[in-house]
Amino acid sequence: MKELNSKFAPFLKVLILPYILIMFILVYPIDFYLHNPGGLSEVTSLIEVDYNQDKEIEGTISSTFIMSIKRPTFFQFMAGTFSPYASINVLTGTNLTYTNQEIAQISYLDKETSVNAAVIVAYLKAAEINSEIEINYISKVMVYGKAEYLDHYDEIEFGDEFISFIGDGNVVYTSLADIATYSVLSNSYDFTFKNADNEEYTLTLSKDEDYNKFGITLKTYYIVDKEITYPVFTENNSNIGGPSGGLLQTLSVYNILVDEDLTHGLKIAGTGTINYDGTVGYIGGVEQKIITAYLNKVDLFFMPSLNENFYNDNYEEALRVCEEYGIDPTDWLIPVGTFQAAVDYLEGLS
Amino acid sequence: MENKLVTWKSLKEDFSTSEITDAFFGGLFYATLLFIPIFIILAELLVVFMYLLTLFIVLIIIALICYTFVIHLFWRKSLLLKKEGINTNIKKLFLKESLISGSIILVLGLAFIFVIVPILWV
Repeated sequence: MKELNSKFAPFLKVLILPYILIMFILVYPIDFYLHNPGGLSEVTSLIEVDYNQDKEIEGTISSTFIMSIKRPTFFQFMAGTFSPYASINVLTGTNLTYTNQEIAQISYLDKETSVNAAVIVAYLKAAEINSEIEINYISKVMVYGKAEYLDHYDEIEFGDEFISFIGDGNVVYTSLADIATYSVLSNSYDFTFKNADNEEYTLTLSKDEDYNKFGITLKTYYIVDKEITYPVFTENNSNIGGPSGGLLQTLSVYNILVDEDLTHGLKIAGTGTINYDGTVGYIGGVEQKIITAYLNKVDLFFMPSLNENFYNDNYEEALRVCEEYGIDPTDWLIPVGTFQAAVDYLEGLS
Repeated sequence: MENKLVTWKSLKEDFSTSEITDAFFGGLFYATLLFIPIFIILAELLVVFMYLLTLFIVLIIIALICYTFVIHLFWRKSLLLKKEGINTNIKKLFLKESLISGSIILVLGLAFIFVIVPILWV
């Protein structure tokens, strides 16, 4: 080794500074986010339903994912500017305060709850025409957001379940709605949570003086009770996070539960979150998702069409993207406001 | 195979085990120093251009094959700097070793593309 050291010493002396500079550009993160086209993920690889095993499904139903890089390195930022499909923006809001690991945890939580919502909506719809299908679900209040000023920030994890809090008058409350109502007289209250290992823990949380809030965001989710649900379904491990696969997950599960093959041999993809009432919700990264679908040559693509309450309509943005990239949206880009609308469209294809 | 073992024995006659090991770690160190930025660049480009995944995996496979070639190149260089006028044909021996390593990387890389990627793509 020392022979090589003496041989390369002159080169090393000259190249050490450029080398450090290159490594700095390659590893130093900056406060931007980068959206790029990703790929398609077949829903049956994620959610397996033990039902209708003999049914032949000729086509495929896939959710669309994009590559969302939070805090890219200098090099990724520069590479992104050369990508014809990339969108680069400054990190703002809560994304700026969360670490990449925390953003990944939120994304995982979104995916988990999305799968549960998809199963609930699909089973309930299928149960209307097939009495064999049964589903039961329970509501859980979970930690979805944490402000920087939250007490015990590191001890509370995203996805932990809120169990109860001891409110005014030393009464134990378990409802999310009661927190605001019965946390008026004091500044600090005891909250009990349950972590991913099913262990309960109690912490005293104090309101921030400036905001007069505890700094925790709790959200109600419905989780499938697998013991009572029929047929059995399995959720496989996944590397893709986020809630935007909800609509396609619902369609895929529903397609397994009914006798008719809704795919009609087509390569179906799309995007859109699913709400418990079957409506389709807003998604981000429309441009990259349209391009991903186009590059993967899908036959039709479902896109949320929202009502006038939303400032940005995904479908209108999708039409603009199609025009920009010369994609013909006719019979390819399908706007849907509800899961039922997507089913109706597919049934109409026959 | 037998011929290769004979060449290795000949190399062990020319150099002690500690000299061969020391030369190997020298080669590994300098090859790694050279290739770390290349691998980081390829990995970061892969993340940005995920829709060109297969292309970038192929580029990474090529880079890995080059990496093993460069390790052997520096290894040989280091050995030759230690001692001149040796009987063993190190160049031929290490070329064969590089080709074997390269083939293994190629097979593993193709298995990654056709088996692991579809599993990860969930």
